Amino acid sequence: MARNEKEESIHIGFREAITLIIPYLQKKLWSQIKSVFWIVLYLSLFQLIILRIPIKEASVIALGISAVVFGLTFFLEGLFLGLMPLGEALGLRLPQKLGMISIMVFSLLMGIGATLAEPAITILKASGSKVSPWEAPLLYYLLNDGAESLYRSIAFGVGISVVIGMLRFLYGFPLSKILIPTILFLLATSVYAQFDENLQFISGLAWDSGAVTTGPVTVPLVVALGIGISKVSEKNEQSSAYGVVTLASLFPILSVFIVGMYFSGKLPKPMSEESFFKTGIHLQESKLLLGEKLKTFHAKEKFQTQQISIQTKFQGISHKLYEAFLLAIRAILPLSIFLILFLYLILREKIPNPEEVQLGILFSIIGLTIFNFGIIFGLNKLGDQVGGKLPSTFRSIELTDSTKFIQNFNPKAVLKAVNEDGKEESFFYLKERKLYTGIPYHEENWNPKSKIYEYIPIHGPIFGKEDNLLGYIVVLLFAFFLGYSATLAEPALSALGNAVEETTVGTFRKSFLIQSVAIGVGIGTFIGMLKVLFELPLVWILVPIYLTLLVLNKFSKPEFIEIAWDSAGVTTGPITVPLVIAMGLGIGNQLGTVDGFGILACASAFPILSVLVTGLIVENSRKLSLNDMDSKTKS
Amino acid sequence: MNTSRVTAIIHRDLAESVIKVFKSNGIYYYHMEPARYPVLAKRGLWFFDFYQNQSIIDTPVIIFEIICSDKSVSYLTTLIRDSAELNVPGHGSVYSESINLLTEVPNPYIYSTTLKAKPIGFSGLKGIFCILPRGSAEPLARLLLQNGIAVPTISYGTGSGLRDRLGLLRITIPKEKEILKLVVHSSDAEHVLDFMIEVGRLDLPGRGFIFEFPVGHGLLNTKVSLEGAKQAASMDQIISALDQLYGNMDWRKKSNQFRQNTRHRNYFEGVNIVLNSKEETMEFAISSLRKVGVTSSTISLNRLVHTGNEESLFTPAREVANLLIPKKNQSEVIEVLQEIGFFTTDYEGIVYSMEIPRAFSYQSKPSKKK
Repeated sequence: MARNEKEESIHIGFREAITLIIPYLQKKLWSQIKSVFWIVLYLSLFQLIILRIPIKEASVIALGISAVVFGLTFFLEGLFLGLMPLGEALGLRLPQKLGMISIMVFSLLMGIGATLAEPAITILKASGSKVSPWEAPLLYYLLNDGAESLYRSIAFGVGISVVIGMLRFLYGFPLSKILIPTILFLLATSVYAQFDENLQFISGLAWDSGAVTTGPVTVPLVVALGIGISKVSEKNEQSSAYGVVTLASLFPILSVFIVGMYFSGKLPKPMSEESFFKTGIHLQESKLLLGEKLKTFHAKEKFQTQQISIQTKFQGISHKLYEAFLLAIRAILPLSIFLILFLYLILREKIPNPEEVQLGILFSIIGLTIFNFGIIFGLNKLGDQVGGKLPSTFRSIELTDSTKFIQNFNPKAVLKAVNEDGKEESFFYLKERKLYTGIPYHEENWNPKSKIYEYIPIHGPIFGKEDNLLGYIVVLLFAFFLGYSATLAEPALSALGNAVEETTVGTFRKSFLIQSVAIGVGIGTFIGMLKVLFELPLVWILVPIYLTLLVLNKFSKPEFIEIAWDSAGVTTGPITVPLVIAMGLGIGNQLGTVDGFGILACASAFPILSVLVTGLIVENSRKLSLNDMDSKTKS
Repeated sequence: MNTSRVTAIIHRDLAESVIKVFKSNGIYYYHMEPARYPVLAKRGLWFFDFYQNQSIIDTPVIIFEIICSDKSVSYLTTLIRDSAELNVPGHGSVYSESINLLTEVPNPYIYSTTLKAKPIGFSGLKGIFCILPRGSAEPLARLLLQNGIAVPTISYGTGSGLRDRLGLLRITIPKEKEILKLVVHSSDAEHVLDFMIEVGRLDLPGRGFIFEFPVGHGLLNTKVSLEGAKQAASMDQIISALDQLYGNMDWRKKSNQFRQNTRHRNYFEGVNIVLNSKEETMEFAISSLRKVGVTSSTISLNRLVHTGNEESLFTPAREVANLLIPKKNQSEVIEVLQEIGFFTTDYEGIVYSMEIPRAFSYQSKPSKKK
């Protein structure tokens, strides 16, 4: 192999470069197409075949989805080239060069920085406008004016957990020593919160924000840092690098509860809408709760849809693209600059392939931009459409997004008909293309001044009468498959899967991890949907499931415990969260639920169960390789 | 001092007891690397068996490497065998190779003992070391298992070579490799080598390379499949009983099962230089070696564990590079390593070499290109 050639760099012509790049790109693209394919196919088929509603703006959505695929390809490649090696290099060097306190300070800063950069958190805020300030004042405050303190508390929670995770690697104590007390404490807090009028509404938010924090920026970075530190730590004999992610999704729950308790006293108690406006609340309380919005709150805005010209549409798209770019820059750049500066200035070390890392950072910024854009235009739109119309399986709903404005409507065209009970109902015929359809007439939609009749089509219930059982079952099944197929596309899980496959030398396959997590998420969203449909308190679900998990921990190997708990934190990222929230809010609005939160919390509790259970099965087959079949009972 | 390297491949569930024995017997330093060994799964339902394609279950193992003096090899291997009960099929294997230490290393790094033990296992073994692109090891391993040749061990590594001279375009070529190691009887070695070259298409450019290394004594894992025992003794037990009965593995010779090699292969010989240094420093060392003609190498990660009471002299996170070079270039390589300070605390380097009688990789025609 070594034939004394002198060192020379090979000159690659344009054509050769292309022949190298194309198969590479093909391979990477293909693997992303495979992961996104299921969720897209599922959502569109569900809408077309089961809900039987045509997809609005299908071309924009198609563009958005291809953007998701391209974005994911670049972003993940960028992670592997740039952020992960950087994180691992830091993890390797930190304990060699710096003392304990500096490591702790660094971990705290990194945890906070990574979380503030995480794009998924902002989605929580988006759901804030749907909460009414009188039914759940505390929840309303934390999602609107108090959102900043919510973010900061979450970020601080993550920071603390990174510190604890790194301490664990340095001193090599088992994960369950932190896990068990933390979980028990959290469960106790949730039970306590259940009995407080105001706090009971934030336990959904608290558990959900724990699930949301750990996304595609935090996870790879924290895992890489952990891999680095655990390699050089002398005390960590069975070197495992996981467990930080799960801590990073537990501590924020606690910090959200603490923030909730702090504000709970300052805010009014939940009350009915009437008493909220009549008797009112203290000026101080209302200032804190509603802020500037106090005056504008009374006037309910009416939904207005206008024809949008192509030009403004295009402007909208380019504006969104710019926004997505800013979001990506904000997520990646400050964090990577911080890491690079730390590596060069404080540790005074060099990394083997600086240009690869730079390219990686560039790739992740490009990737995240395209990805964010694609999420807004592709998956979110599709998800909102399906989520909003989902209740039509068991209820009749108004399709507000396909409202038609009938110009020059003539009330003389209104006819009368008799229904089964003998009551009179008004309707008119509408000619659409060559068909005449009967449409019920509602006086309030007729505007005599402008001579426009606003016609909101009504859809459903698809499966039989109002509130029929089959409709509910379809919704629950929908939730299961949504959770399952969205998880397959989740980028942070893919990154974790790669890291796990690498550190376990292929004994724990990436595809295996993703499949078992996806099934868990499916079950979780199923149960979470049950919670929203029947308004079960979240504690009823979380307490038994987490207690079961703690028992299962006893029987599992540390390897599986850490991977299982970590994968739970990872599952809920930028693809699952908006889709699940859209679904939860869609159903919640139809049913008049106060908070649609809690589905994510379930969606991140059940994967732990599924991974632990599959872990037990795998462990069993590995035992077989150690012993002979008949002597199996001996050990 | 004549030194040897003892390699033990142990099922991970048993690793803890081996580590305990290391601690209690004053073995201060050992290298640890995670790996897996594939086992054929049980035959499924008839209809999954349609293609005779048994699925593979990957068992996690840990590869321990200990550098020791020649005289303590037998004692050390006995120690390992007893602690992990290696005579039970499926527990793992242990073998020794003689190495040539090229650097000064601190004393406790080389284990030596005055305690004596009878040599265990068989002699006349050959090891095969094969580097393949990530993902290609499994099909090859399946064939090896199905033919009952040996139980391979697969670990991860990265390769460097042509790739590093491409500039940034190198990211388009995956550097991730799989390292497949197995130990067979010498009489089979040439045929197995040929078989692997053929199946792994190693005669094509960029597919990797393979070499054979001499093994001293060894005790090998015989568990090929998880197929349940239908008889009083499992096939694996019968094989190991016969092994012990004959005192060697000659009866397991499989040469006549293989096609006679029709093609003449251009094997070459040399030395395998093993460099071991702090993680993330190997890249610099390898790139400086390029000027003496070392163009390709295989790098894998391992962990150097220290068990004594006093401070360890080494950082635990290590990188290992295997470079195959012509023997005459060995001194040149050492010179370069000294120049860059490979043996100082910047790198914490350890270097040893072993003779390679036969190696193979794709080689472009020897004619000089411009």
